[in-house]
Amino acid sequence: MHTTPSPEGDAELMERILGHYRKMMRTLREAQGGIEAVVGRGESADGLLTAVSDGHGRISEVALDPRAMRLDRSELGRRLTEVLRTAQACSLKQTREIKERLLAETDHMPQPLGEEFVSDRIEQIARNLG
Amino acid sequence: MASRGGREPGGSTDPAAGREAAPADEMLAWAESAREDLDGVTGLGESASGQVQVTVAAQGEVLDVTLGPRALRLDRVTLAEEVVAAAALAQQDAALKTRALMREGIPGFDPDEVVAQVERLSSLL
Repeated sequence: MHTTPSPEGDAELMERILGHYRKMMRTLREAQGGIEAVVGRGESADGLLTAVSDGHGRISEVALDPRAMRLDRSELGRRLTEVLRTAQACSLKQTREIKERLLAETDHMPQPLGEEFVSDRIEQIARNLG
Repeated sequence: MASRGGREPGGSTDPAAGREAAPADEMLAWAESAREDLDGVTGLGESASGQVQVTVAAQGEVLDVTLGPRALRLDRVTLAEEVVAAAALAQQDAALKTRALMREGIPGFDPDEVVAQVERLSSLL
């Protein structure tokens, strides 16, 4: 990056960097909002059990068809395990996609200010003082 | 409890600073060695009637739902609600155990305070 020191140039540069940074924070907040809105659903093969997971893997809903109550408890337990896991896997897939998009969007952040940038300015200050 | 003000991001190099900050490299070393312990954490939650038990993995992934002998005497709505509740309790249990492991591993490290600090920082931006 060309680093000719000047107060005006630097002010502009700071504005641009802050602008990029604010944009990154907005993108981050959107991703967070997206994750909060994720709904992952699971349904058993026979449709008798359903479950819903949020974007953090928390189970928010489970529903049992009356016919599900005729299963023996170990079979019902097994199917409940499966339907909860399916709902979680579904929301995990969605949050991963959101995070991948986030990474892609924030990939082109401006490079951090380097040594040259700082030393150019120190020299300039020294010259102005001297 | 240590005071929270003026925590150095890079960690204090002065041992006398005591519990003020955990050096970053110490945290990293701990994290690598503790990964097995952390991965092995499971959370257990039991519903109000005791007829539903849910086990989750460290990150909250459901591992097992076990129904007690009287579970099928519950009506299906109550049973469903108890599954939801037991899963939530299991996830809370896993989170508590994880935070306890972190606190034990690094003197002065408070995971909740880190979360609070991150939230304070991000509200400034």
